Amino acid sequence: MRDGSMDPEAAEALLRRFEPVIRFTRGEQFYPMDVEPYVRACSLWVQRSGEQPVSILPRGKLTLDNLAQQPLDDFGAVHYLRFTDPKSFREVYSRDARAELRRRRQLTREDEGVKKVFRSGRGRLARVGYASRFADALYEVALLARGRVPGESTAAASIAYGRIMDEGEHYGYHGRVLRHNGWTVLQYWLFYAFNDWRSGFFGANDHEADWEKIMVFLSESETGEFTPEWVAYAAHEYTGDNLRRRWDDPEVEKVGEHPVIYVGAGSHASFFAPGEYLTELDIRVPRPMSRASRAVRGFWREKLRQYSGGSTGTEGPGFFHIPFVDYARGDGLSLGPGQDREWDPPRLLQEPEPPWVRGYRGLWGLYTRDPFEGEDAPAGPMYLRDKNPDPAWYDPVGWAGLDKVPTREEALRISSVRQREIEARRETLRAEIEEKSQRLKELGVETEALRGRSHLDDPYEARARELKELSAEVARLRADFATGETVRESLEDHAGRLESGENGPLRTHITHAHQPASDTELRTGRVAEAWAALSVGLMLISLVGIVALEREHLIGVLVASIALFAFVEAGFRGRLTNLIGSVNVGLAVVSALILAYEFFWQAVILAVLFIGLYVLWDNLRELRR
Amino acid sequence: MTEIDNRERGSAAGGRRDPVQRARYRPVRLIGLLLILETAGLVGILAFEFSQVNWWIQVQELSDLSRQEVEALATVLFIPTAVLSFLAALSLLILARRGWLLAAISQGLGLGVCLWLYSETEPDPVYVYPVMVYCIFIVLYLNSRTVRMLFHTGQGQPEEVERP
Repeated sequence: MRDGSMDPEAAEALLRRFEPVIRFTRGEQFYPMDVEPYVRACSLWVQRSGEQPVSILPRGKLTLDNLAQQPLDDFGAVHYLRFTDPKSFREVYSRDARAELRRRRQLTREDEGVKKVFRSGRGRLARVGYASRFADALYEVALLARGRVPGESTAAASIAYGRIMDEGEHYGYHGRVLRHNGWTVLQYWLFYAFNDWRSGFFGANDHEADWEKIMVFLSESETGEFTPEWVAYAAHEYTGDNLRRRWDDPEVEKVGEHPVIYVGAGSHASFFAPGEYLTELDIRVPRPMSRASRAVRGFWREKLRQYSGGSTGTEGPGFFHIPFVDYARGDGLSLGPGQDREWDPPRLLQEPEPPWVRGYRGLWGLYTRDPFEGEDAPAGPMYLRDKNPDPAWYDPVGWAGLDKVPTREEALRISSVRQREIEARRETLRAEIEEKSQRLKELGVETEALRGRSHLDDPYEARARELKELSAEVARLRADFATGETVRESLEDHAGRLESGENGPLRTHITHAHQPASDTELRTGRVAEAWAALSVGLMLISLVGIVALEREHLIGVLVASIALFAFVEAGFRGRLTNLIGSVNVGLAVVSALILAYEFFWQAVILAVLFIGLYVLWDNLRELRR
Repeated sequence: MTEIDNRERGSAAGGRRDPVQRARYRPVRLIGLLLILETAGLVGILAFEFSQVNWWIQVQELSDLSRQEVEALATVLFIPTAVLSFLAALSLLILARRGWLLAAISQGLGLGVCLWLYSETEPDPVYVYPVMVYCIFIVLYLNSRTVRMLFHTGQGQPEEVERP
């Protein structure tokens, strides 16, 4: 089977056969849509470096056809679309606009068959410790300085999206089928007009436009039958083995042949199971700090054999984690075959790719110049924000970590070829071993004959050296021969299991499965949640208060207040035991330092005495045996 | 459910004591005995300090923190340490799970009082250093993996997987 695209009819039939069922969370405002009406509602802009943004095409003039027909621009220039217009932000506060928003929300609730709006449940901050909460506070403060999507954008986008849906309600995806690396890959590209994760669901970012993808990997038999083998759902920037699940994995929920996806509210990240997922933004701590921390933990755990939680002393790359929750509850609207809303026929992205896919490398929404890029709109399905090709487009198999996994048919073929190769190699080895063994015997006899004859010293040395080298080589060849047989048997056994339809373990490829929060984690009360929300701010205010008002007893009051915060925190998080253990260890370290300072030489003498007595006792014990 | 909990259940059910299991819980009993020894030492210190303080003068001159007052405070502060140590020792000897927590609190208190005495008095009372050494030893032993696993396997698990 050659790599490449598939004819449009066959591609559409396959796409429709396995198209996903997507379950949203209650409160979601934006659903997968076709790009055409979105582009029509946008204006096109360019931001050249050091200049003000310039409008290239105003709203109403832009189409999918002329989107890609833009002249080349200077290095550093960024083309982008604008879905919401700053001039319309004032309109958001008008009575008509508010009535429109209320009407849309009411419609959404009626669609979802529910009366309640989204409730966040237990806050994300209650699930993590102080360090992460401080990092989160800094992140929030940094948002004031970073470029970000204006606050009115969500409402403006909601109104604009509502108008598009009023013109013609539709729920669509963009489909692509390609043959790649032995697999037939079904790509479902989902486009959303807006990502309101931050403003709507306490998430990390907002941005105009959102491209998400779901992939189904099929194997094709010699008779042309397709069998689904793997699925991979995009979630944030994750790639590789952890994204994909085998088709027969119980975690992959299905309605007939349609995989079910639970979509994060606002973020539109895709998950296999319903729930609330703690998604962490990782910030690396300085390397010397993380190295020192690892060394101390390693010494503490390995040398002193002390308890230090579940982790080993040397693991952990050293990150601060800023927590965000992806609410993928699946209690909202459901899209797909037989669901609340059906999919429209897909817009195909088969080769040759439509010009708007290949030719437009700009962003699909507002460019905020956010240095972390979280608030910038994404590029199209084919490109990354930096205008380079997206691996998910040109190497979907590698993107899902499947490049090392052949299809069943291919695995059988590879196994058969490898068995034959190994057998041929063993035959060669057998002949080589026989020949070299014969030579080894001859050398052995010669060396033995020359031993002890002083006038034949040099020939003896040469033969002894050759004997040693040849002996090692024969040993290596025999080991190769034996290993080859074991490998061939294993391949034969593996092929037999594949032929009988056995699939092997389901999850060996997963190193870190993204799991929803457990019931225990979600059960903590409102007081704990309130404490988590207030504690960092309260602590900072208390510190300022103490420094300003209690300078005379600064250290004592500081220690007491930190102890109080730590105690309350540990109580809420059920970690009192750990806190007491840590405090004790801290006190013990300080006391040990004082003792070392006061009694250094006495301690040295005692240690030497102890070692002497131990050696004496050990030797005497040996004598008695 | 910790190993200690299982052990408590086994005893309650009247099960016969397995020698291997008995060996596993030897560290727990050893800590119990060490804490009894500590309690005896602390009671000795308390008695000594008590005899050194003129309590009538202390009550009259509470504002002036003299050596006598420090010793009086030490006496008062060592009482909870001694009581907690004794309770912890009893709990550990009968293999009750909360014994670990009581022991840890008592050692923290003991070390805290010693550090306070070290910083507030000149010259330092002679018993401060031996008590420090003893408490350090017990803290390290209580925190050793062997002992922690006996008390906190299972219960500590959710805490361990929690991210920083």
